[in-house]
Amino acid sequence: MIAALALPAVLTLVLAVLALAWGDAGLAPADIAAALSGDPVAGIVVGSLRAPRVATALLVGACLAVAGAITQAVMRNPLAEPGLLGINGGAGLGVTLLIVHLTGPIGRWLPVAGFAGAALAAGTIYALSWRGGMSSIRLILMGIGVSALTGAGIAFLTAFGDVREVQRAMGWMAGSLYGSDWARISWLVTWSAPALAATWLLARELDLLGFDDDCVQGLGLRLHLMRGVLILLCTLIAGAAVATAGPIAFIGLLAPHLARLSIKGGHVIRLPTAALYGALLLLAADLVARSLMLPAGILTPMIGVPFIGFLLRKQRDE
Amino acid sequence: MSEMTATARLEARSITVGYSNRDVLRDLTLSVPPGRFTALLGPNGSGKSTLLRALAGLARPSAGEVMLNAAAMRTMSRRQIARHLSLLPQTPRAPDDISVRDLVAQGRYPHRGLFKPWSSMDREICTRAMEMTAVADLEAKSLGHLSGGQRQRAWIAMTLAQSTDMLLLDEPTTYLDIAHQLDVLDLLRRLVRDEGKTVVAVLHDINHAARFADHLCLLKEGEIVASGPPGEIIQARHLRTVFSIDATIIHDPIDEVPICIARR
Amino acid sequence: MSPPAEIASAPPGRGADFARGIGLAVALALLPLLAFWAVNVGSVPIPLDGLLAGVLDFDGSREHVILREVRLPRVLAGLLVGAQLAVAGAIMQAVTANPLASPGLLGINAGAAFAVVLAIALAGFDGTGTLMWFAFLGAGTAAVAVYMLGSAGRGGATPLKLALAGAVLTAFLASLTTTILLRDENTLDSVRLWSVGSLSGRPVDAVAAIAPWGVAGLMGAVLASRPVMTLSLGSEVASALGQNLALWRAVSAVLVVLLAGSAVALAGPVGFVGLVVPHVARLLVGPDYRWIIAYSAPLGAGLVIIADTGLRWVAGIDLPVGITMAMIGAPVFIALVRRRGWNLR
Repeated sequence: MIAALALPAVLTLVLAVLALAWGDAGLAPADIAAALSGDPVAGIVVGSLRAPRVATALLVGACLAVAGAITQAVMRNPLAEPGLLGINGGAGLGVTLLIVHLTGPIGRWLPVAGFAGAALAAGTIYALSWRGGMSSIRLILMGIGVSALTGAGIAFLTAFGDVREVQRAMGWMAGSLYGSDWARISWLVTWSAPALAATWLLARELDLLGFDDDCVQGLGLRLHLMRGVLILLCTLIAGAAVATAGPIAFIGLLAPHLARLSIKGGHVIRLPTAALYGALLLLAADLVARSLMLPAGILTPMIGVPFIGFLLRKQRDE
Repeated sequence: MSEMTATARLEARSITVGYSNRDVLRDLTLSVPPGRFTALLGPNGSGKSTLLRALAGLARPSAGEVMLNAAAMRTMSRRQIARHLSLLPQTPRAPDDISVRDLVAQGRYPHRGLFKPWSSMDREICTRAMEMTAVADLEAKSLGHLSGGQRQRAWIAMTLAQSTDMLLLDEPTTYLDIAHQLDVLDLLRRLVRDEGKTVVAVLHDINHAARFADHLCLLKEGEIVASGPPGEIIQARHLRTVFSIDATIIHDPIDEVPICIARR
Repeated sequence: MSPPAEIASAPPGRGADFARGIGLAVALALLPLLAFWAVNVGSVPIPLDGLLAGVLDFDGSREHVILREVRLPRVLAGLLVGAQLAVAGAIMQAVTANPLASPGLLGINAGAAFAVVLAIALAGFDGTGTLMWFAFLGAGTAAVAVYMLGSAGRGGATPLKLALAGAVLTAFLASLTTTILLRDENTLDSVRLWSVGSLSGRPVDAVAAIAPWGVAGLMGAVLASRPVMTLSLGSEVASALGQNLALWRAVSAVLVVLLAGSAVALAGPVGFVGLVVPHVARLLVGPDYRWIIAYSAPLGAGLVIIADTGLRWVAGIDLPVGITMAMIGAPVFIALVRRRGWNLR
């Protein structure tokens, strides 16, 4: 078990150092150590530019991974990811509305609009799927329907908005870690940390959600309540992540699978493992994205889809 | 495992249960004999499974009351119910990659609190449940790799780990070959005899019910037509009323168990 | 979701078929009326004799130019695209026995659209006739990819898994498309409207380039509707009935790629037509896919014309049809899911 965790942990550490060192002004590991011990020049580069970006990548990646693990358990489907709960679409619509319809300094309101849009979309999907009870299938289908609606809303706004504003909104919707700062990170931590802790405490309930409804209720779980709570937690975690970095796809889909492949056992260990893999994946994607001058959100699918192909082959071989 | 209590009482008091304005059970009253093996029999759509779900507190009666140990079930939390009775649905589902040990451990869920760690008692109970169902050797295997009979025994082990006085099973022998069917029924029989458990099972095979159960309930169109020990219930007239079949009843020359030979 | 049972209970006689035939004739007869109305919506009204004259006896007047260059191509494109997408959806729903199957949900539209954007951005191709081949290629690749994604694991290609695979693929292709568009402003500019699904500004020759393929696909669908119906009974029943499964599945796939690919090349990825229309047709004519396919063509054509023209007629707002279709289609889809106890493991 330790060995299974050691590999991603070491890789994450190596990549983090690389991400701190590499850039227009290269820094040797010694410089980073100097920055940590108070060298002013290195301190500015590392402390206010690169370190926040690395920290954001780690946190957002971990959040998306945990949110993905929740969605896959609640929807009982290995292809599910937080985007299906309308979180990406809702956040995109919120941000586009704000950018296209308001003028003035709106930068710091973007996360708020994204978060509000995500929460609203997830709430709508949950409410529409409720029919004297909840079914995972209705939840997925409603997610597809509502995402189509938010997509139409975004398309409407972008078709008629001012080109520069549209491009700004598109840039946000591509999902990027550019411009991360400590203020945003503390905002992300405030929203997501309690929800992450609560999710970990509910690991046993997440295990049980993989069983069929009658079985789970026969074991004494208040199924509908628990689903509602978990969807709420997922919305908080993924909503905060998306509000910080824009919609970044496939991390939420992949990280739980990597955790499942590398480690046996319940969600108690799977959740932290998935979080570690999520952090690693986004950090790696952002490093590549920086070198290609692209937003990270565009790269994650390019890692994601081949990996899904690999997963499917593996499944077939078994 | 629990003590030899056999005191847990489960009864349905004139319950009516339905799905979307169609009543499946009408004004049905049933008292489950404690410490015995009760089999529910009836044609398709007669309401056997619904009755089982109602007894487990999963289908809410629109009228009447299900009583568990003299308390109305609707006033109890799911966890309270789960400490007294365990349920095995007809086709239970779990992730394929879960190991038998982890599956059985889920049975401890109703006994664990948010911060209560896994105790040595939990482990002993799970081991015992796996030994009783003869899946202890398979504990590291994943569910997807088991045969049908092994899988069913693993599920029964999970319900045993729940340490309840009462076991409710919906067609536990479906999809199994004859040897595994007899295995499962014999296991249930032993649980009643040796552990003092109360078992209620929906069964399809009249002769299996007659051989293994102590008490039979015949259901037709949401009502109990007859109930009592197999010797009284396995009679041509009852079988004609309930299943619309012509049957001859003979008796096993070895142990006198009634056997139904259906002619049409 | 259970055609065999419904078929068994459907009244067999010729009377029902006769009524369905009349209904189909009425639907087809209403289309020209609808088209005439759509041609008329706009700042310049065109009376019926003007319409005929403009088509038969072009005199170069402003009215005739508007008619021939703007209004007629738009309406014809709408008719084609609507009929093609709806019939493609009906075939997909029949062959996969999957009420969620449709070119939009299963990522086929997204595949075609991505291939077209790629061809424009990387190789500078233009002209709908050329781009159509890329659309075919993209649609075919996407269909294969979604089927492979959705059929992995236990239980084979269940409706839900296919829908999720479609969603995953659509997200992936959308991200690739965004990558291209963020790096290439010219392409962004030329496909901005098209990429959300739009009928406006389609030149006459684009419609003319697509029409033969679309019409061929529609006729092929009608001819193949009997074997498709047999396929809808499920692979076991169909092969027990002596059907060559591989052959007819391949024929169906080719038809879907032809219909959806050329529609996307013309009007961009328009969603929900292929999903909603076959369900409406099923409500009207029952579970027989021969009739569902036949009805889907006029119903789809009519729906797209109404979606494209309605808002312009009521409020004078010219929205791309992809957006209005999503605004009509998504609520209908949500209502369908809420109403029906779909069994979609």
